Amino acid sequence: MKTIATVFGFTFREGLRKKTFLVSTILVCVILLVLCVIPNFFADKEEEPLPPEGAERSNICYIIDEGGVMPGLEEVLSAGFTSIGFVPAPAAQLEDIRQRIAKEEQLSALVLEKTQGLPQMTFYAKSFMSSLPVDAIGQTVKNIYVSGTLQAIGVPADVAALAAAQPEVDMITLGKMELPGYILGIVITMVMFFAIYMYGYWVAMSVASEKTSRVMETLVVSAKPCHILLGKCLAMGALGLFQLVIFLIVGVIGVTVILPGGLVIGGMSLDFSVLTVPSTLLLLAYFILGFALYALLNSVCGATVSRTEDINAALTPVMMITMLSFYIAYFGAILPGGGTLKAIATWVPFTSPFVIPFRLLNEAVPTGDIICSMAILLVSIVAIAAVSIRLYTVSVLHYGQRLKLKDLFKARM
Amino acid sequence: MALTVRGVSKSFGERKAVDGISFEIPSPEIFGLIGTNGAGKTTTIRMILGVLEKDAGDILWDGRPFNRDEVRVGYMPEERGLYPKVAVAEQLIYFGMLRGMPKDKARAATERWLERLGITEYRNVRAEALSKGNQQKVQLIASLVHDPQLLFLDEPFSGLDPINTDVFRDVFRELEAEGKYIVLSSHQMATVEEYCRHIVLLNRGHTLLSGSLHEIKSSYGHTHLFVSCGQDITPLAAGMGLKLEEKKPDGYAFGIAGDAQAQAFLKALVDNGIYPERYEIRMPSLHELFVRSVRQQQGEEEAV
Repeated sequence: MKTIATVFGFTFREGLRKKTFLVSTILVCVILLVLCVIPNFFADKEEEPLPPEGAERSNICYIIDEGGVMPGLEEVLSAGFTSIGFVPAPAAQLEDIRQRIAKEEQLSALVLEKTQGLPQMTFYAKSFMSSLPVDAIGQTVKNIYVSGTLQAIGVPADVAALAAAQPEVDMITLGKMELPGYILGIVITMVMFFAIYMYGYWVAMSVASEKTSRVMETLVVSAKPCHILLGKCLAMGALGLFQLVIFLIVGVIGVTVILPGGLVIGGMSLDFSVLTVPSTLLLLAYFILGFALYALLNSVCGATVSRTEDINAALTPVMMITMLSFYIAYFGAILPGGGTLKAIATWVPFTSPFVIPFRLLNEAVPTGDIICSMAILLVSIVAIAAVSIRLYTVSVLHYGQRLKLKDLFKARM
Repeated sequence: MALTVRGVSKSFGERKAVDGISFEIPSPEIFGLIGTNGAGKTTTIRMILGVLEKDAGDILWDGRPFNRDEVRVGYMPEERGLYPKVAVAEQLIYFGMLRGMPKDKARAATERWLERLGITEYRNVRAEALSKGNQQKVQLIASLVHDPQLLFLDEPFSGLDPINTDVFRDVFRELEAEGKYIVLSSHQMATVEEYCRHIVLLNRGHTLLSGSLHEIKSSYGHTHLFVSCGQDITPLAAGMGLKLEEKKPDGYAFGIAGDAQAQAFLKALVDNGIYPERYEIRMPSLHELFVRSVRQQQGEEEAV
């Protein structure tokens, strides 16, 4: 235990002083702060008052109603959508308008026709991500049409207005999965994946650099390989956690002090209230266990190479397992309808560190699921640690051609 | 206390790296472990250290199976290895602590050795910034900082200048006087001859020679003669059956059958009015023994 603590202390201090750690920490912190600052510029624009009636409007929507399906539509729409200028245009200019729309984000066109006695609306915009409120415009046009048609057959105006009105829909979810938890779950799963992936890579690099500098020769005589390996993995894990905490602190400061209106991703705001103390502790536990599992595998890969240039090739199998596990977890838990895949991913030790955090934030995970998943993960870590220590011991003093997996298992220390 | 290696073997796949080698270091001394490249020296050291698992044989310390946890062992590997970006003192303290020393004692021992080897000024300098000789000194300290009982030195003098060679020599002599068991592995036969009373000579994993260096040499008797004189004495020597090994600027080196032949040749020289300035009969050097033994083994293998 004392030796593990000694290796831990030395590796942690060495890691803290490394340029890669310092540069990556500073760089990510700066990026986080910049990301918090950028929305301020856009926020200023969003808060601009709507242009007064008659003033130049930022978006132009051409109304082409050659058959007079809804005469005077532009006036009604202009009153309802004050940031859009609705301009009538002849059908002959449609092609020219379409070409202009393809180049300019602010332009759009609404073509009204009558097909088999029913009005047909075609909306032209530059992309499907256009900021124009297509649904709202469509709904307004529909309301005007219904109301006009009813009045034409003698229905009183107030009754026609009632018939055209849309009922308000308010959806209340009774399950645990809510939008804030869903978004936060995705974010945490992504962070977990990148942290496990990156800090696992650091372990491999650290082992490989000790081997290439030949310090391993002195090291394995001074301490048992299992103590070196465990101390190193723990130190790198702690270093990763330390860096994540720095990012978290900087992120929280950025969001609370700099970012206007809280953290919003894709128009949906992040709510951290779903992070309770038990769920946070479980997230931490799964990060540590997930990291331990992958770090042990990475350490063996690091020990098989004699040159740090070969590290990426050696790490390929573990990288593939990590990526595959992440995507299985992603498709199983995050995307709807992944029930079976989610259940499998909960038990498989390689995927559970990615799937459980998301489930914790989005559903009431049965305690039995958590206990069983964690037990499987722990047993797997112990088994992989035993194999990894043996393979590490075989590999660390081997120089020359990179050891293949079959050579590792064939060798007797 | 004694280190006993008895019938130890190790194979890597089909290749037998060490084949039943045996030797004993019964008392504190500098013991020579010599051999050709790939003879099995480093494999033997690694098996003793417990870094490699032996296939067969016994390794005993004081009559009991060798356990690295019970014996303070130091190892200076042939391939020098230090943390390039870590300060000298910091990594030496680390190595001391890994061997179970409390931090304050590891620090005190580090300071003492840095001073002893004259590199105190580099204590806070990164290892990568040191000269090769100074890196070697740091490597030596890494193997000594925890005051080992048993020390393995693999090619400790390679790349050292004469001044630093003398520094190392003095340190090794001091350690021997303090009662340390030192295994010196080297290709440099003159070095081993200078330091070691007992040796084991390995070739291709086999023991060629083992025991007291003096006894091994004595068993061959006086086999070499060096004569320093101004005249050409080679025709006379050839006539008496002496084999000219080398004509040197200051004389002639001959191979002789024994003392009697050397004495007869000296008489012949005097009878011919030749009075040598130097007339030296000697046993074979370790280098000569080494070459002879290896060639002899190769000859035997080819004959088989």
